Amino acid sequence: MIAKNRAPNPGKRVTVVALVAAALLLGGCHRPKKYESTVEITRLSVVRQDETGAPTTTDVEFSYVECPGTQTEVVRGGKDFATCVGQKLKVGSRAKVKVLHRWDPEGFYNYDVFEVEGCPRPPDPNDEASYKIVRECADWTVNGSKVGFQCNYQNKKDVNKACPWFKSH
Amino acid sequence: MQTRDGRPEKPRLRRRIDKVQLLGLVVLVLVVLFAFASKVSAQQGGGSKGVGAAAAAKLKAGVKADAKAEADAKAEADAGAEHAAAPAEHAGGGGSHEAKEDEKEDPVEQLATAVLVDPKKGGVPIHKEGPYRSPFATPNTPVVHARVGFLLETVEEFDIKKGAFTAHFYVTLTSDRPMPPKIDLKPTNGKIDEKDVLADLPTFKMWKMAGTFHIKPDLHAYPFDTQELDIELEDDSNGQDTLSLETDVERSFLDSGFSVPGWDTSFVRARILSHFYPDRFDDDDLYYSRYMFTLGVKRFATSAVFTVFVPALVIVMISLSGLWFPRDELEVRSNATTPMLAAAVLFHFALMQELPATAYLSRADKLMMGVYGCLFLHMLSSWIWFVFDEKKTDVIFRWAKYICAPLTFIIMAVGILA
Repeated sequence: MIAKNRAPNPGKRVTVVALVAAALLLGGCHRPKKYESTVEITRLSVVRQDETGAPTTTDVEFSYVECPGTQTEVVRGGKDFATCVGQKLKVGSRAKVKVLHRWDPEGFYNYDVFEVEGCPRPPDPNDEASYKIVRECADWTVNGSKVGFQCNYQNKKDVNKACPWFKSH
Repeated sequence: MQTRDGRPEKPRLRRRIDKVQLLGLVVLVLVVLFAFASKVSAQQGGGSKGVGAAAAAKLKAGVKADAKAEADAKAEADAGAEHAAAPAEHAGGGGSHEAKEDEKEDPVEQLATAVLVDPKKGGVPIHKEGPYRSPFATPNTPVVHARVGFLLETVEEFDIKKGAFTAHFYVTLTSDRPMPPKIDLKPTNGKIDEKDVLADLPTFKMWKMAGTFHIKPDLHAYPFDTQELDIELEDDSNGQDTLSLETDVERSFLDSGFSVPGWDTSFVRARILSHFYPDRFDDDDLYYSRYMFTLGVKRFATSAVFTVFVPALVIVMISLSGLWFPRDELEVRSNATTPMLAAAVLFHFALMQELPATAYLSRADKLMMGVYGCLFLHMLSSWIWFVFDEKKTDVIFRWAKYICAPLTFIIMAVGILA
């Protein structure tokens, strides 16, 4: 058989390249990404204990020291996490946390803390006690006088720039 | 002209609009009229609501009004008050019971220190000392600055058409020095349904409240609008010379897991308004601290696009496809456009049903204006065949596509971006 010597079709190539690029872009834009940051521990509370008094559930509250604005986060972890953070963390100390920035099926980006100072903390989708308050506040002025404040929960430009895992859209 | 076999061609008769199409057009016109009549009547209804309030405002500022006008205004205001009181009594016995309790309360303590200087001048006692002459002022008493903490627990039943929502929240007042003994924060843009006192100490007070509040929705950007849900609280028994409220950013939050169904939380804002009432009597010069907490909620953009923009664009695209049908397929061409006009009107009508009447066009209204413009253009491209001679059929067919298709995209772009 003799192969036909076809002339290259530049339009077709451009279309294929564009489609592949679009597919890669669509596949990549929702790809989860890991980050690491430093936090200051503001509260350590044992929520549940077993019969021997060993902690089985612990809340760790912290704020991100490297991020502007106000970020208060409470993560609750199980027995292994409770034992680990009980040995490693103290209120007022600084710790390294690892977060996973991911696409949430609810239609926005979200993140989970999955490690605190080397203590693994697998996020439980049924955990309703863990929560985070991420906002950027500024004075609210009228006629040049400060009369209050406004805290943005969405349009947090400075926070999102310094700490991209806080991006939700 | 002759046919191929040499016989003379019969002159082509112009097609007439059949009865079914005519009936369709009449129905369409009626639907449009009905939609606009509904809109107009809704706006008129909104306007008439303001009459009672205007009369009351006149009564408040009635210093310069003559006796007859004052009496008329009072009668109108009383009638308005009766109408306003009736639903409140129907709403629940608690409200009327509270009102009766308030009536039994002693008059304001500040009045005891006020003196009647000139009986001929209105008969209102005043305070000679201090920055305010109002009988409700409290001279010789230092101002207490109280920080207001606010935790919004839930927002439910947000009805944008009524401009109403219910909220459950905690309010705390903290101060370095003892606050006035009798502090009663009352809403100025709604009513409190439940109020539990959790703490009542001289320097720390805390309430848990639930109430219904009213707002004026801003629909300029609809369906990409952000609504501001205001909760306004004021203690009208203590003026700013006694109690000055201050916002506390460190103690103002949304509860964990807070969300408003169908809306995205955008921001919270708290501010203090030094509220001054228009003169209710002579020397009514006292300011009051009003605490205003605002929750900003934004409509989900994805939902807005798919519920408003996509249907509108589909309607226009289907209508646009009709331009590619020649005159021989006039019925098909007409059926691609005329039913779309009916669909557009009904779609617009359905959108309006969800919103209160406004005196301005929202983004969705502008989009629909663009849709109507495009549909009119497409229909015009068919009607124009009946204006010009049949010889120009092909020219009109060709130029209708060349002109209408780009114009459609331009009109829709303007409608979307305006």
